[in-house]
Amino acid sequence: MSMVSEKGHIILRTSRQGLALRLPVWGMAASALLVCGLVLLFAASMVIGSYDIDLPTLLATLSGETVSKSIDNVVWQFRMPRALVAMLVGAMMACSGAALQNVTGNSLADPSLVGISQGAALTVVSAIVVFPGLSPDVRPLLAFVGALCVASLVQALSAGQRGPSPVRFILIGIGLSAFISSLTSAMLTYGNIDRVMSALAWLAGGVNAATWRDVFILSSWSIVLLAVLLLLSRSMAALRMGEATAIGLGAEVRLVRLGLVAIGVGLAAVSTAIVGPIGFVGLVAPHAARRLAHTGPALHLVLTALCGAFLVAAADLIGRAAFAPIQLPAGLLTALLGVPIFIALLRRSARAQY
Amino acid sequence: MRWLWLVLLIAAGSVAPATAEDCAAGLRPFSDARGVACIPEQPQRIVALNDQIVALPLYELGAPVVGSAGRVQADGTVYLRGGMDTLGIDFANTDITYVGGFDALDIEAIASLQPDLIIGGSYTDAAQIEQLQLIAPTIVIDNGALGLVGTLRALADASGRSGDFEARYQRYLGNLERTKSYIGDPSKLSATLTFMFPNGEDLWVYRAGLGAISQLLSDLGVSQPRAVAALPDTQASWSPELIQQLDADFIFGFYRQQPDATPQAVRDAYEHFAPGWCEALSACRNGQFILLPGPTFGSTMTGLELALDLVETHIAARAYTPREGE
Repeated sequence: MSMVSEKGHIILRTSRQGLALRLPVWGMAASALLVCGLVLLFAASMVIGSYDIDLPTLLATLSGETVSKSIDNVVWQFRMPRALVAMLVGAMMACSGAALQNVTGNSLADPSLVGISQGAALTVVSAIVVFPGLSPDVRPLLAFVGALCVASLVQALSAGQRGPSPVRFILIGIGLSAFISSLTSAMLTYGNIDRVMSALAWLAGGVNAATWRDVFILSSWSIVLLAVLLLLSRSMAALRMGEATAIGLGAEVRLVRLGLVAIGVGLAAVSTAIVGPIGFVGLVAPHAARRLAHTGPALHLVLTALCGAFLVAAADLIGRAAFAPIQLPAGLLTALLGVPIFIALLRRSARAQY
Repeated sequence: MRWLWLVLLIAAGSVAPATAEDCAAGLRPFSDARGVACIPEQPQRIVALNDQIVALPLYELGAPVVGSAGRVQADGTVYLRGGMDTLGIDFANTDITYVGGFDALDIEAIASLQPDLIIGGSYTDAAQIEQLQLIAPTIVIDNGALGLVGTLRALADASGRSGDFEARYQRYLGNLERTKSYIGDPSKLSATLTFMFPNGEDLWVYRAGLGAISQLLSDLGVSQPRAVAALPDTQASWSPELIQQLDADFIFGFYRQQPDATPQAVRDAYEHFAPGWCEALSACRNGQFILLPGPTFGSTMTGLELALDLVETHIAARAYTPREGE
């Protein structure tokens, strides 16, 4: 293995030149900084909370000692899975946004903005209100079906004679999203009050009921979907240059597009099914990652996932601790951050088009 | 086949109800909406996951409520819905600690109170109940299925206050008979329950399920207008164009102790909803549209007793004009 430094990049080569990696220094540094930030955020999530636990007690509990059963529960059953779920959901939502932005060529594509999260929400709310006996385990599947239907519909409706238009895609997505939200509202208005209240709590988009089971489900899906997304990253780079160039470079454009849509929808659907719709992460995180460092698609995806994880974990920590015991759902805080960014991006996109 | 029997036996065992022998010392079995749970024989620290439906009935029974879900006002202060109106209590003047909203609980705040019993409603998220079970036995009271009296009885049982509840309920039943005797034949009397939202945009009509007042009118045996009696659900949002269908001997509405729901504000809201509504309804024209205070649609014995007193005063102890056309 040899390492060569070249114009802001490090090139790693195996001894027989079988594998060579050209890694941007700043991109790697940004990733390392985000990982450190996530570790600090995780530590803060362990320390901060309504249940007062001093640092020595916390450290003792983390080392496996049982100081009290309540403290064990708070640390191991409440704080830790909650922090992990927030990070996993953030990473999944963020990568979903990155995949959708790449496949649509639209920097405004976000699962919560173009109706994908709402499609997932409609199917899950229907299950809660109309079929209350249905196991929560089927929610990811239902959410996936709902999200996929909406994604296909938006794609089909926005494909005009002169090819897809980014603004048309986003406008149709917003319109469809409003339509689906009205169906969800109708269900909430006319459904049984107890089931509706249960659905409303889920719709707020919070990770307050996170369990180790959720950590397991999210991490299992993440491993599969994010790995495939990383494998597609080379083709994503080709797609960035336009469809014709991508075909010329040998990319299986149709297959890649299909794969990116399926993964983008799958990531959004699974995370929505577990914690409810958390908006704007898929929009904000890819842009934040791009601002942090200009990198190739693979490292950009890693940075995007880290940004998304940081964003949702920070939103959850602020939401549960800033005004405790009043609890603000993470989705509310990400929307507060995301809406101004969306407006700024929309203005920039409109200026670029006209 | 032997495996199948084994699986069935295990499955049966996992859903079999707990018995007194299954519960540890100091605990007893209790049937709730989810099955049978072991709860303390005499709970000492109860956390209520709903203020109006759980915390207030427990408090009026004298149960040791140490924490409750509540609501947040626009200025950020927290309060027990119906607490001041009904029992004169709030988080500020009791030892009850706020533990978040009923749909956004602060689970660590609940854990820090060291409860020995947690009581929620059927809307409480199943995943959240699993977490709460780690803190203390958590039971779910399905107030929709049990009705008001069933809910109050279940809460009294869970908190070890059945004796207090039954004594108070018997007194209510005695007073109910007295009111019936004043009215004569209550089934010849009709009444409609309406709930106007303060902005005057939405009017809900209740066939059943509006807390104490619904329970009382049902106990009295008062009839309802045909359109209301035929409602498939317990309540419905009503169109202003169909407001005449609500006419009855008496129509009830509700005001509350909050600036946007004063008696005048509520009357204005009816006018905003359906201009000229009072002229369209004989009950209103004849002064038989009655605004009752908030506790009468709450879920407490205090509310039930108040509803009985007010209905007796407004109906049994006065002359009235029967609904036209009946």
